[in-house]
Formats: sequence, C-alpha cells, structure tokens
Amino acid sequence: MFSFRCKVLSFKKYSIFVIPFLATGCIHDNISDDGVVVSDNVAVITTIQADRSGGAHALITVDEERTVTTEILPTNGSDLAMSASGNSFFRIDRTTASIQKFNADRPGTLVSEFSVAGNEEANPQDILLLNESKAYVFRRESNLVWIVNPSATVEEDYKIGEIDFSAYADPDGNSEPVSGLLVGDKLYVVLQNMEDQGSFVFVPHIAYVAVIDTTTDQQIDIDTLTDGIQAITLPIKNPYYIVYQESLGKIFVQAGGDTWPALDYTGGIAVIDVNDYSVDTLIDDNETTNSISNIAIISDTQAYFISYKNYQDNYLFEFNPSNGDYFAVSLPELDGKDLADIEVDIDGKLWIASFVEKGIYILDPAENEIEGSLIPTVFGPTDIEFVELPQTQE
Amino acid sequence: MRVRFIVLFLNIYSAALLASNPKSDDATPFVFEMEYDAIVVEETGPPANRQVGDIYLESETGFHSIISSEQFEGKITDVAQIVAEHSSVQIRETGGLGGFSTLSLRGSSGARLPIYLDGLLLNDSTFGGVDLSGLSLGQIEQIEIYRGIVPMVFSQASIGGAINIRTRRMNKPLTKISYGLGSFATQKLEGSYSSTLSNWDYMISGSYQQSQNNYPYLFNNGTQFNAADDYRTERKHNAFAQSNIKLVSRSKLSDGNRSLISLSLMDKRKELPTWNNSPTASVTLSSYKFEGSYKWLSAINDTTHASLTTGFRYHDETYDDKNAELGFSTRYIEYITQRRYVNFIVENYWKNYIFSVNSEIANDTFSPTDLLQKNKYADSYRWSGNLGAQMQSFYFKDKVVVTPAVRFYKDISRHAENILYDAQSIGNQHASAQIGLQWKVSPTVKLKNNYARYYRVPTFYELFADRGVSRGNPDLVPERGINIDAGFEWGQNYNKSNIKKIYFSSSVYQSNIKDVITWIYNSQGVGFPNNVSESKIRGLELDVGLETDSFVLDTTVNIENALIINKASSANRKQLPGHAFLSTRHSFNYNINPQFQYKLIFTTSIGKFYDSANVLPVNDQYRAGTTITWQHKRWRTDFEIRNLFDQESEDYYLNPLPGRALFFTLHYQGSPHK
Repeated sequence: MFSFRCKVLSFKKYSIFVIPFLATGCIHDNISDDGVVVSDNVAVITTIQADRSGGAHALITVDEERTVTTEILPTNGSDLAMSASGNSFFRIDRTTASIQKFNADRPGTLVSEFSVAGNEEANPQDILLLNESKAYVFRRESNLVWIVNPSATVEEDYKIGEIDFSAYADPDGNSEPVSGLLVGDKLYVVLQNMEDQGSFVFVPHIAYVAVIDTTTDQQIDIDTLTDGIQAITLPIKNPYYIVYQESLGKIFVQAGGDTWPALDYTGGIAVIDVNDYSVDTLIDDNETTNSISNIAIISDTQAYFISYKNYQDNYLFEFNPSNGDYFAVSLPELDGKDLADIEVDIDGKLWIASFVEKGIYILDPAENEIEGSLIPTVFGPTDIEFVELPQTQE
Repeated sequence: MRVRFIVLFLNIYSAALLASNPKSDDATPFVFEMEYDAIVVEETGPPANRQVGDIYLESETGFHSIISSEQFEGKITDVAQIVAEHSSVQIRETGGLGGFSTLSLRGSSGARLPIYLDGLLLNDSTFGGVDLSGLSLGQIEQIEIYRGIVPMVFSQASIGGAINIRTRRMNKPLTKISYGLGSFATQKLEGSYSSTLSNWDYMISGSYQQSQNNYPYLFNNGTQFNAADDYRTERKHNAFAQSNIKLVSRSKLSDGNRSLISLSLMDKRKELPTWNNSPTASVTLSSYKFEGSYKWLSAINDTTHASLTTGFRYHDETYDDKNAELGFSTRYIEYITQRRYVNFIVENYWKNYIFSVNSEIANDTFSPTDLLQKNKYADSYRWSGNLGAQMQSFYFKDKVVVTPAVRFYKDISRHAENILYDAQSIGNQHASAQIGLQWKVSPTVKLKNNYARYYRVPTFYELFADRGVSRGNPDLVPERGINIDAGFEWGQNYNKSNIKKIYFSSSVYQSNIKDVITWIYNSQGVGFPNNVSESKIRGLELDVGLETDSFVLDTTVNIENALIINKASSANRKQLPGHAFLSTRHSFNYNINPQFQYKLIFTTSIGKFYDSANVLPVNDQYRAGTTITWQHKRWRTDFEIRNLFDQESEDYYLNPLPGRALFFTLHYQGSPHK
C-alpha cells in the first residue's frame, strides 16, 4: 500500500480524534487499536518536560516514514526510563518506583502498573525479561534485584523473588545493582558501588558483574579456586550500560568514572569473555574520550559511545569492539549537545536522543552522517528502546 | 498603547453609563467598612492615628483588599490559608498545618510576589520565597493585599502586586488569651498582654501550636494509573510544632517624636513526609528566627512627618535528610540568612499634594554549611539600595487622584569562590516608574487605572547555586515587565431599609514579563536557570457583596489566563503550572442573634495544571468551610469545620491535602486595664 509521510501526531486520551486527523491527508498502513501509528518495529522513547514538571513516552515507526506520536500517557513522573523485550515495553518511573507495562500493538494503553519499591527508596533502573512470566528488576538504592512476573494482573502475584547482593555493598550499605544482561540462561548483573557520602558526593568503589543462573537464581562462582562465591571484578568504576556482542562472545560494560566536581578518568569500557569470565579494559577513559556514557554496538568492528565532557556538552565517538580503537564522530548536529541515549535499530541505524533539542537524530553508520533532520518528540527524549509488534500485525 | 487606550475608553464609557442612572434619594457616599475614613488633606497633616508609611486606602489608586484580625483571630490556621480564604489570591499547598505553601496574586508567586511585614520586605535574597506558616496570627492586626500596582512605600514593585502584613499596634492596655484544639491532634495556645510602664507602652504576645497532621487520605502506592493497589492510610511523619514570642514597646520621646522597639523569636520544627508515606521517615526542617527593629517616628513639623527604622533579621534553618529519603543523596545542611537594614520615609503634606520619599539600604547574607562536611559551600552577600518618590495629587475637590511614582534600585551581589565558580561580583541597577489614577465619578462610583514597570533581580540561588542538581547562572539578568489594570468600584449605602449596603467592583489586568528566569534541566536532571521565557497574564476580577441587618454575602471571581511564551519550549502559550484559570470565593456571614454568628465559605479552583505543557490537569477543587461563633461578654467560642465535603486533592503531586477537619477555639479578652 502507498504511504504518505505523516506529521508529528500528539496522542490524545480519546484516540478516536486521531482518526479524522489521519483521514485529512495522512494515510498509514498500520494503526494500533488505540489509534497510534505503528510499524513492524517501533522505537519507544521516554520523554521529559524541560522543567521536569512531567513526562510521557513517544513512539516512532522504524520505517521510511518515521511517524512520530508524542505525549503518550502523560505522567507526573519526570525521571523515566524505558525497557523493551519481545512484544512488550516497560516505562519505569524512578521517582515513585513503579513499572508500567505496554504491549507494542497498543502502545498507548497501559496493561499493568506495579510498585517495585518494597520498603526501600529503590530507584528502579531497568527491567529485563527472561520470559513472559519472569523478569528481573534492577534497583539502584538497594542490594536487591527483584524477580517479578510481568504478566501478573494483581499486585500479590507480581513479586516472586529477589536476589540479594549485599555481600558486595559499598560503605553506604548498598551494592547498587543498576542493570543486567541475559546471555543464554545466565544473567549478568552490574553492581555499581557508587557510595553516597552525602551532599551529592558520590565516591566510586570497586564494581562488579555478578553472574546468576536463571534456572535457580543463584550466583555462579566465576572463580572456583578462591574461597567463597566470586563475581567478576571490573577494572573500571561507575559502570552502567552492559551489552553483548554474540559474534565476538564478548560482553561490553560502560563506566563513567567519577564526574563531580571534575572527571577523574576511572571509567572506560571493559570487555568480558563469556566463556571464561576473564575481563579486560578495552578503552581507558582519558581527556580525549572524557567520561564515557552509553554504548551501542553495530557490528564486530563498529560501535559508538557518548562522551560526556560537561553539563550539556556531549559528543559521539565511534569505537572498534574488536581492538578498542576510537575516534570522534564530529557532526554539527551532535557536537556539544545534550546527548541522552544511543540505540541501534533493526536496520543497523544509530538513533541518538538529543535532549535539549527535543528530538531524535538517526545516523547512518556506513557514512557517519545524519539521515534527514531532527525528528521532534515535543518533550526531551531520555531513553530509546525498540520493540516488535506481534507477528499477526501487518 | 492600543490596549491602554481601549481600557481608558471602556472606563469612560462605563462611567458615563453608570452616571446616567437616576440615583436613589437614599444613596449616600459609599465607604468600605474596613478602610480608613476619607482623608482630609489639610495643611495640618495626616490623621493622628496613622503611622508614617501607612497607605491612605481611600485614595489608593490600586485595587486592594484588607483582611482584619477579627476574621482570623485565634483561628488554627496560617496566613496563607487566611489570605486564600478571604481574597482572590490563589494558594498552592504541600499539605497540613505548618507546611510550605505558595501564594499567587495575578500570576505572580514565590519570589515574584513580595510580602512585607510592616512595610519591610520578608522575601529573602536566597530563594526569594517566604514561609508564611512561620508567622503567628496572634501578632497580626490586618493583612493588606495590593493587586497590580504596588504603593511606592514598599520597596519593590511586582507584576501581580504585594501583600503587607501589619502587626498589632498598641491601642489600649489589654489581655487576650485563646486556646484551640482540633483534628489531627492539633492544638494552639495564644495570648497577649499589653500595658504601660512609666513612659513605655508595651505588649508581649506569644503562641504555641502543634499538629500531627496525620490526616487520612487515599495513597496511590506510587502507581499513578493503577487504582487497584491504592489504599487509605494516615499521613505519616508530617508533624509540626512552632513557638512565637514578640515584644513591642512604644514610648514618647518628646512632642511629635515616638519610638518603637520590636523583638520577636520564632522556633519551628516540621517533619517532612516522603512520597511513599514511609512510617520510618526521618526528614526534618528546623527553623529559628530572631528579629529586632527600632523605629523613630517624628512629626518634623505640621506638614512633614518621617520615620527612621533600623533592624535585623537572623534566620537559621537546618534541613536534615541523613537517610536520603527525599532525594538521591543524604543531606544535612544549615542555612543562615541574615538581613540588616535602614529605612527612612518622609511625607510632606502641602495643599493638594502628598509627597513622600522612601529610601532603604539593606545588607543580605546567605551562609550555607554542609554539616556532613563533604562540601564547602560559599557564602553570598548583597548590598542593595532603594530610593522611591511619589507625588499623590488631588484635583477637583479630591474627586481625582493622580499618583505618579518612581523607584531607583541598585545592588551588588558577591559570592565567594566555590566548587563551580570563581569569586563573583554582580551588580544591577534600574529605575521603574508607575502611575495610578482614581476618579470619583459620583459619590458611589470610582474608576481606577494603573500602569507600572517591574523588575526582579535574580536570587542568590538562581545566580550561584552550587550543589546537587542545581547550578547557578551568574549571567542572569533581571526579569522585567509591565502591568496595567483598569476597573471600577461601585457601592451604595441604604440607611432606611434592611439592606445596609451593596457593592460591586470589577477590574481587568494585563502583565507582560520578559526575561523570565526559568530552570531548565538536562537529561541527567541537573538544572540551570536561564532568561528564556516570557509571560503574558490577563485576568478579570469581580467582587460583589450585599450587607443587610442580619447577613453579609460576598462573592469574588477571578478569571486568569497566565501564559508562558517560549517558542522553543513545549510549554509555549501554555498556562503557568499551579495557576487556576478560574477561582471563586463565596462567603455568607449570618448573625443568628447578637450572640450567635454563622459563617460559610465556599471556594473553587478550576483549570489548574501540574505541568508546564498542560497535559497533567489538577482535579478541580470545590471546598466549603463553616464556622459557628458564640459570643458572651468577654468570651467567644468558635466551632469550625474545614473542607466540609471532605474533598481529597493535591496541589503538588504526591502531597495530599487534608480532608474534613474540625476545630474548636475558646477566646477570652480582658477588660482594658491601666
């Protein structure tokens, strides 16, 4: 069918109003049951108002049209993150420690919302689905990773377990399990260990990646020659993002080091071999890379990270995951901007969230050039994920 | 210019229309009950019961209202609640007695709304706001609300107006005491004693109030969209306790010369609840304030009066969040704010003019200390000088009053070196003019027109913030704007019927503000203020009332369109968050008999948003309160029900307001003694 490029659409509570708008001159193949323009694969993006008075999520179709629907299900929460798995995506409200579930075929309709606070401040960072009935929730101000049933319909059925990492806690009493990665039946959990000394002084301590057997939810000892159960000790501090490149058999962990009051260059990118759990520093941060935040991998030889130099002063770097070579991708659209996130879509394009400009750039990695112009999201984008519609949707 | 012309035309047209109506033989010149008698400008000077700096309300060209102490004496409430209940001023609260609240007057709030105590600015230079809950109602004689143009006797103009809180003056030796208790374990004890000792008149007043603020509410469990896990609970860790003591002394130094000494202490401790209403929360805010002033009042000659005031204010606040319950880092900080000032006012009465000059020099300091000793915060200082002059002129047998005025302001702010900035020194200076017109078209009709320019210098926090998620911007320039209003007041007394008076007033206003300082946050949540926005505020105010032998009925309506103008923002042409589009107040006072009085107040707040993009509406608020008063000789009892319909609402997300509450107060006023 023939499709027109559409304008930015604002999602309204009563989606029926979207239909006349579409009928006036904007025809698309796929419209979800709740009136959002979708495609086989979509980008779901958390967006925040500039003064932090509220947030929402936006959706962009991953096709030629790049149709945008914005301000979906506005919320008072202004510290939001996004996670996606299978045909579902999850909007994480860090302020009130809740996780909202959506299905890709009805991206404007809430399926469920549950609290993951427990009796703690929690500050959830991410949720990772093992399957439709089991997921892991990573919580910063805690030692506990929650195990939840993402298909639960009542609160009593939501939390089904927890994994305790208090053995790795830093002096503030928390080990900060902030993110994770599934490789086969193993869960790799990043233990950030950023000690809160008070007054917004955070001191990085030795950080770890713990390996969990997802069939038993017990930690795997990665060093049987040493007494006790060992985790992978990272050579970099303040880790966060963790990604897997299957073809290399390697896990890449990004770490920002300490950034206040100045960069201390204790971060970088570490690489873990999933076969023997050996770890090495691929890129040691320095005055050229500045603090490394966010990584996204295109191929065995091409990947990107965001270089944080100062407040709203970020840059995009390309690096080679095989040998650690890197260089700055200098583009006027990106240099010195507040780049909040980078992610790779199914077509191998790099999506870049530009927060202050309130939009998304798409980079063609083959040429390291921006395709088209900024895709506006109305509010500032903070976190990009991609999700597939169920196969029956055409 | 076009707007002003249209407004002036409408005034003239309205006046002509009203003036053409035949007058009743019973109509008499109208005098608002709460205001001073009409001044008589003679060469002999002002009325004897007046202090230098008091506003001549009858000839004040701006729209204003007065709330006298009779309307709130002994009540278990705070100044912000009183103002919101008795005027068109909007309020935004965090919940419970002693909690932080913000007043909004014609679109200006927080640092943009100057609040004065006996003519001296209360807004601190650090954050710009005023904790009105720290004032004791027992020490207040009246609250004056000036909408739009700010009389020159107050040092700062504003886009929306100003509020002046006048403390009690010693009129006669008296003893008063009251005790009240009510819902949520609330108690209040208040008393004052005034007498004479040798050449000195003195008054001592004190109050203590406390509340657990443990009101029930529906907690959403942190899940904004899932109502299934909501449950009713009590608000936890929200208690408050406050003590206030004040000593005022007055003496006659010589003929025409008096002195006033005032000393006051305030001590307050407030628990701060967490978003998840944790029962183990431990965050507190403790506040201690000590103020003193010396005022010399002098009748220099028959036509010239002056006052010289010098004073200080010392405010020590400690914020304790050692368990990081209200943020993502532990905090334990002490803020010491000090202000020292000298203020001089002189008034000269000559034929048909009152010429007045107001000058003030002030020194503000802000000293934060990280009690966790992780950061060394830098101190901030500001020297500021204000000079204002006003010529109030009376024409056509006082039927026309024209009041031009001008203010000059200069300051220099200094900030010691901190982790983000080298030592900084920043200066501002500006002049702002205003003019007001009042035309008494007939004995029952007044027309008013006002125009004023406005500047607001950035606060220390906006300039020099150096902690956590806030970074100051030393390059900020002052906000600037103009406000214009026009309207009329009509009132008629009826002396020969059950109806005593009817009154009606209406005004339209518009304010345009440029270089609005707005906090913008980056993707990591760190905020940085910039002069990026403009604001346009337009509104309509209506007030109509009827007083009979047995009851008083009053209705106030305010329709306000307060917009943000910022083409680069999702908030462009959207309503300012926290500002209602429509707010109304209706009151009914009924004298059942000479001993019993019944009062009903109904307020509405409609069309408010939590956020700048206006996608998160606040539930409309409809609140009613009722009071039954019984008076017998020197005793009075009040039985009050607040939020009669038990409506649950939140002005700030996750900060629920109390539902229905009951209060009982017993007052005693002694006979005047020597």
